[in-house]
Amino acid sequence: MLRFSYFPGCTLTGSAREYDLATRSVAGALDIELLELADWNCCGGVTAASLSERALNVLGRRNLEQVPQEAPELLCPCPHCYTSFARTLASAGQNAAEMGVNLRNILDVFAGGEVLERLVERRTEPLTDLRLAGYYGCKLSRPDPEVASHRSERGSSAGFGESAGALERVIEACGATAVEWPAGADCCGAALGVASGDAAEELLAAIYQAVLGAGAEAIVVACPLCHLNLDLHQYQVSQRLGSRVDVPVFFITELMAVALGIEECEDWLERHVTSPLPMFMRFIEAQEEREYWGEEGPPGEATGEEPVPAAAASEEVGAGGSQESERPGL
Amino acid sequence: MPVAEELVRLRGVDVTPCTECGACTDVCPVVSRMDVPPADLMTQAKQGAGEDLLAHASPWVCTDCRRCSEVCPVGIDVARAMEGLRLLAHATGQAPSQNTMVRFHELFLKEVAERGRLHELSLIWRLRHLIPDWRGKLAFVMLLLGKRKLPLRIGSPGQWPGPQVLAAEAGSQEPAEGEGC
Repeated sequence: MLRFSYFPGCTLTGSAREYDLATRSVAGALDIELLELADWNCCGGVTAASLSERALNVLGRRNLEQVPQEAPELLCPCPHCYTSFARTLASAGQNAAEMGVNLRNILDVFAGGEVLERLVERRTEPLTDLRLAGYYGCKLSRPDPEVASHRSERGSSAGFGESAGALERVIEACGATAVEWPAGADCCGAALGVASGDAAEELLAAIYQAVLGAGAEAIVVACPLCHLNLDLHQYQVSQRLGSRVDVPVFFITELMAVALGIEECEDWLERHVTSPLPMFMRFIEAQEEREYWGEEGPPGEATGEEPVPAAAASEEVGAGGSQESERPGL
Repeated sequence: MPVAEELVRLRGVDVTPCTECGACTDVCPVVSRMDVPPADLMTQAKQGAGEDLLAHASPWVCTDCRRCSEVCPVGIDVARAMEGLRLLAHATGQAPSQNTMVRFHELFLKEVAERGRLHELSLIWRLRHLIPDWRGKLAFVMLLLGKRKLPLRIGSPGQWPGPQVLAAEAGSQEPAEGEGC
């Protein structure tokens, strides 16, 4: 049994609630015990480091002091929290060693070899032939210096995120295909998505162009802010690009939950602004067709226009929110 | 007060080796939204610029993506220098107060000081007067509310000591938090 202290962070109780639900649920299914910090507070986000060194340290220390000794490894699903804590520890110097906290990001834990073996063993809905793009964003591809030094001090692999291909490993372990694409470490606009939508949309448009160019059917992320930006602005980006963008965005643990056949995932996936349902319907259709005709496809020309068996809509295979069929409009 | 010295003191970033090659500007994804490109800020800091360097909006547009730090041929952590400029601008009251990102950060910290955690809906609501085309953006908020992504109430730490815990210590340079909306 792997055991971690768990720091959900503010966005995981709000705009990224599904990330929290999926992470806990997948952890349960893969025998990972998560002990939530009893009385956690905000890590300070990007803000504290920009406005007040003192705030960054006060907020960080209050959390780190709560990490129990029996679970000194602290899992932070949000890369911003992870980075903030690494910075707090770096500035705490000698006191940091006393705290003995070892920070782990989501990819350290859920893309680890042992965990992925369990995933492959226990998955019931392999996402065969789905083409997915792993998106790391900034914090997981270009770590802050304190993150890099924390990792080398604690003997964690220095390379993580993009350089280690962690998202791709998870995607493949779910049975899907990881596409190669050039924008996996680009910036999503971060807080500009809130404060200046126009600037963020420009960045997002470039990312989506790359996604469509690579022929990916969905994006897999590990950061709440990346998810919010990529998921929320597709209507505006479609207008900017002049072609329809309709690409669902999954948190890494959501994808694992789908592959593991965890039923509650329907509830989380309904929270997405860009509904994953059309993608899952296409996936199920393709799967049923394959089952019906075998690997060779239908006799004659395989045009993909064959009538689809009515059972394609059956619930047991469906993983998307089944009541929600149309794209939410603005 | 030469900014370059303050950047060393606050963030351990020395800009004097800057060769003015412009690589940081070339890779910056948001440079089109900046009033002064990052390379110019580094150059001016190196040349001994003082407080007048702090009124620019550029450091607040920076998303801290760290592309610039990655490419700098002489190893200057440009992203950290930008963060240092934000710290300095805020501490000296030079930050452009009507910039949405400046207010975003100020209100973010205020939220967190009050509750111990960030309440996203409350932050967006407090920011509304500064968001360009707020009425248009309201559609996003409604959409997120409908998707249960912006809870009306959030939990908060049981033992949160209150705003004073983040308030500046006596004698520190940090001004008191703004009065809000």
